[in-house]
Amino acid sequence: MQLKQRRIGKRLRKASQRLLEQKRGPAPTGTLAIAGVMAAPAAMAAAQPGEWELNSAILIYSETDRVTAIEPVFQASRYFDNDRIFSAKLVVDALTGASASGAVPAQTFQTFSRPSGRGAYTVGPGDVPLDDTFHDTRVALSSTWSQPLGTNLSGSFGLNVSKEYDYLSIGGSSVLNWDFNKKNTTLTLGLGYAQDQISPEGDIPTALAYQSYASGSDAEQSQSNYAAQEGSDNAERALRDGSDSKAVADVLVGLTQVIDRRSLVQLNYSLSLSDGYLTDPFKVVSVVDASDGTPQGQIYEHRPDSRLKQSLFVRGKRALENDDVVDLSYRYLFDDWGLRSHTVDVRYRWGLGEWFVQPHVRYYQQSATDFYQAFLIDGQPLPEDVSADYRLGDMQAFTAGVEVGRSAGAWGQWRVALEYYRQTPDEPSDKPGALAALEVAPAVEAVMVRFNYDFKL
Amino acid sequence: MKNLFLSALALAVLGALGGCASLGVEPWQRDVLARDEMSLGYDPVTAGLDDHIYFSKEASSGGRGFGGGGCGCN
Repeated sequence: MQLKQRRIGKRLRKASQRLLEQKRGPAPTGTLAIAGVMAAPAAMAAAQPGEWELNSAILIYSETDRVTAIEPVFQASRYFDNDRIFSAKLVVDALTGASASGAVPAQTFQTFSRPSGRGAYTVGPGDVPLDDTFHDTRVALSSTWSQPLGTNLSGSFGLNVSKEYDYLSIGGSSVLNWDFNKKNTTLTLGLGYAQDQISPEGDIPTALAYQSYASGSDAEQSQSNYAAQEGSDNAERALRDGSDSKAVADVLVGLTQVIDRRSLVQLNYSLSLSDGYLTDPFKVVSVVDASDGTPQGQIYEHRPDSRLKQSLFVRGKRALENDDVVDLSYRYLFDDWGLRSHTVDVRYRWGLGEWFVQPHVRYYQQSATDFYQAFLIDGQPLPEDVSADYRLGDMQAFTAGVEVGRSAGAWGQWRVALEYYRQTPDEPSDKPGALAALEVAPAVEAVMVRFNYDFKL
Repeated sequence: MKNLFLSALALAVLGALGGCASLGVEPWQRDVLARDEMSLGYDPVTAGLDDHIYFSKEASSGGRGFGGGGCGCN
């Protein structure tokens, strides 16, 4: 019976895709769930038992003068009788380029030790110190099994493993969806747990310890000054631990409600607790002279060893009379590090027969964590927790993009997206001496290109 | 403060559930909602890529749902 309903539903959907502008008669007693709220494969109701659905994508992310990432994704979902689905996903993430170390620029050349303690790099006057050895490849594998657990209850259970050269994460999650009120309302409960281990090249640096550092009026002088300094942190390096770990537990409670024939609304409350090593072993904080603002050296950062994040997420989707779809969402997030953030995301899917065009705009704003400091003042006692990572400071970010695709066709569906992303961190207001003339937290710009291809076997 | 927030949230959810009974559609009115592009779980591959970018570049993450896989880009 269920199979028959699904086939009827599939035929109807195909008809509606072909004749978008033509009014359709009422569908039979469709039993389509509102949506897999989480970790659910796309177009769940569209594939039939015995079929494979394959979703693939490749993302190219490129920042001006900084990081470039190439990220292919491949997901395969197998559909079985009685709404049971197995899904497996592979993500590869290849990163190269430079990332901000956290140190401030200076009026002179500066030579920094690499985080591993092996080798050094020199930056010019006024340049934000970027560590150019940032390269890594991440491979992530995840799998999900979904099935009904009762008349109105369904569950999905997932496992995931993510491995980088210096990082391993293993996690599991389960999601329960309970439909009621003629399947117009769905309550969702999600639980997740992950255990991560980090083993950086050169081991875990000692928090707040000084790194080898030198400056000079030209690159050569800076490097020769550094050579005289090199190894000043040998004692610290001998004491390092090889690895450290953290655990992350997530809880999500969600409510999805069908409003009318053309709209639905989702409300999620999420809680995430991280416990363990949350410091970035590659980031440092400059210590500058109180009067002239000249960097005297830099120390390894240190973050608190636990973080409790909470967020409220609300999303609405509405199909307009011309069948264009408006997708709006807002997230408010706050944590016990003092961070508050607002995220607004708007998508408008403009249907053009078998084609669609979807403009996208996203705005993000965060306030700094309590321990964020762009630099420290020499001679003052060191705080217990401090980070100069601009990603923990006051910041706004803006994304604008457009996606174009073909939503029908015997050879599957494809779409391509082009997006522009710009982060504008706030410049610290209390820069002493010569630092006042330098830009400590410049804007970061990135361009993203994504290509998706979905098909069935 | 946290308890107050949680109580308010519980009340809001209960209130929403009470109000939900009058919202919604009959099973034969699901033609529009059944379209792929009206599904909240539509295009999870893209959602995963987006979440990963913003997780790496901003201090906030999650909220929309559960993504799979940890990442060392904190």
